[in-house]
Amino acid sequence: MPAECGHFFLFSETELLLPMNTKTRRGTGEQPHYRLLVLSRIVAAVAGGYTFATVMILVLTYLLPLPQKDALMLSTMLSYVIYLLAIIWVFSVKTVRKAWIGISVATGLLGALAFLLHSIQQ
Amino acid sequence: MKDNFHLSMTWLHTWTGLVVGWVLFFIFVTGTAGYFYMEIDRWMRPEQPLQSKPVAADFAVAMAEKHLQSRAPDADSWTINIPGARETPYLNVSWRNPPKPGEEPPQGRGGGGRFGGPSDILDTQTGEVQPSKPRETGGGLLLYRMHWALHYMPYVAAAWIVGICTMFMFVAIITGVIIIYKKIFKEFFTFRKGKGARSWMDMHTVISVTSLPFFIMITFSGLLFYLYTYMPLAPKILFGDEGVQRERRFFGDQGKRDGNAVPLFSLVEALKLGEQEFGKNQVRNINVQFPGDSAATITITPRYDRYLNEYPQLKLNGTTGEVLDNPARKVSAVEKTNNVILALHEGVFANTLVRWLYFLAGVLGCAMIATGLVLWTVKRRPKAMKNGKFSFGHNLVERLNIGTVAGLPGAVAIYFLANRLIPVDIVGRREWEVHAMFIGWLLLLIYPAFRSIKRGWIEVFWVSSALYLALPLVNLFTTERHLGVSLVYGDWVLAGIDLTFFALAGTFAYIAIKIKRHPSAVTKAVKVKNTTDDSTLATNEVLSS
Repeated sequence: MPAECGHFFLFSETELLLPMNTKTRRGTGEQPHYRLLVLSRIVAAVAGGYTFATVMILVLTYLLPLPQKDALMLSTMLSYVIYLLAIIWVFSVKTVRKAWIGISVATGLLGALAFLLHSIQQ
Repeated sequence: MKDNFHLSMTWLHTWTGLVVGWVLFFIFVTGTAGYFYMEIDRWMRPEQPLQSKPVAADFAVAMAEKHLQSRAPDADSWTINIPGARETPYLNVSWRNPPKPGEEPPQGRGGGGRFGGPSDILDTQTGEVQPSKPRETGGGLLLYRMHWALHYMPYVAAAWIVGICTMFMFVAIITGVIIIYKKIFKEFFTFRKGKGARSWMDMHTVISVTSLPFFIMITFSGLLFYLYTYMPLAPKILFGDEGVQRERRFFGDQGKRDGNAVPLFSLVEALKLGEQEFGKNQVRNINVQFPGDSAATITITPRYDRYLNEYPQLKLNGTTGEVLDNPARKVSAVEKTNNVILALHEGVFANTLVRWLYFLAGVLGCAMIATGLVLWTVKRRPKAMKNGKFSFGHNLVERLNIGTVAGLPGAVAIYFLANRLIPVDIVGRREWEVHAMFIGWLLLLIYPAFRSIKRGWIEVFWVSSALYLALPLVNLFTTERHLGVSLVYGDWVLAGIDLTFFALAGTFAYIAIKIKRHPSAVTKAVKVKNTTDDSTLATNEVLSS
């Protein structure tokens, strides 16, 4: 499958998270940053995704037109799916840098929104 | 098109599945057995009588009330279990005595029995107390409990370990769907036999897709059991340090005695009110708080198969029989949704057929994890082979797979065997049953390290098969609850467990024979390596999924 191999190389120029046994690693020797980049992406997914999910709970709890206790329960139930989607998203973007920027900006904006909603309610 | 996204998802699926695969297998095995924990409880207490003969509910309640009036007139609480439902095999009465001065009153309502207090099993014909002092055992409940509380560690630590593994599983399942969704029908109906890794992949796919809705449900709902434990920050921010106290589902406030002696409302009349509410023969349990006191309350609980979106209970004034307001039944739509999801996980509502389907889905879950773990090794064998030897990491995965997939079921059999073989009067025998299980598992994990991979698989499966075969036989020689008794009497719960042991023994023997007849996968892999270009293999490796 030569075409697909080439395809591979094209993307390996970026900081792609590649499976361990790819052409890149074998052909061009082990990239020094490879393991660090994978680790960084895992942290972005696990910790970044978790923070994002928590902030989403706050925003949803304020926005859902339900009594607060119900709104909290529903948004916490949904947060596990949100966490899952965040993890998948972090692993699907091309570069680790993009993943970190994306998850940080989204969490920051939602956090600001949550703070705003909190202030309004007080 | 096999693009970058697809490759990333494959990577994520592979590694989230592998790193927690063995713990997940343990959770699935103990959880699957847990769908029959009440039945296993009975099997592990062979001193208890056979199932009570069917009896009219009002007759049973009248008999139980009479017994409690004479046996425990001063108790704080009485509980009567009406036989007939899965969860009430006997006419069982239990009670709780007032706490001694300085003693903390136990949490929750209810008498003794399951909570370790005094209880009697009554003959449904004569009302006489049947001899039933059971041996000290953790029973099926302890085995079931291991799938969320593990063992040998604090409860909260276990909850977090299980929760993290569950989240990994959630990711693995959904990425698995993403990997194959475009050709899910084609893949589902494809099985290529005798093609090494390809066949393992097909099997993994078929098993996973067959029961996919169950896997998604069981994983997601598993997380919801610890809703605010895993996601504690939002409630903390919203409601302060106390967070949200989830209402105790089964246990209301216990209230207090008034100290005025007033005769108790007739429990047979209370039963009638309960049957009006829940239907004829649908009442499972009657609980009385402070019998004989003017503050008495009666709580009537229907059978478990009515539990879906709420936990219905009828509360009565214990002296007048007037129906009381029950705050536990006022649940919002969101709480009902949550309750349904949890009820789906536990399957409390399931009748016998649905319960077996749950069991089957659980077995398929074990098989999904097992084939996934094996697939990981089979795919990597060609490349892991260097100078005729596997790397340490690859060897470790191979051996952990054998000790877990083939060995853990055997360890569970050892738990049951220990229940029969450890002398009844030994101190701490409940814990020793568990020790036996984990020592057995440890040995079955270590043993494959000294055998070739193929020999390891075959031998450990034979060991598990032999252990399950031994169970009904040991039962025959050590108790009066063996197949010769249970089949004759028609106690299908006890007979069913012994028969299931035979079926498991047969299944593991079949697998062992299958592996023995299979041409050695390892030698095949080496041949492939010698004849195929390395780079093709690497691409195949990544792209074939």
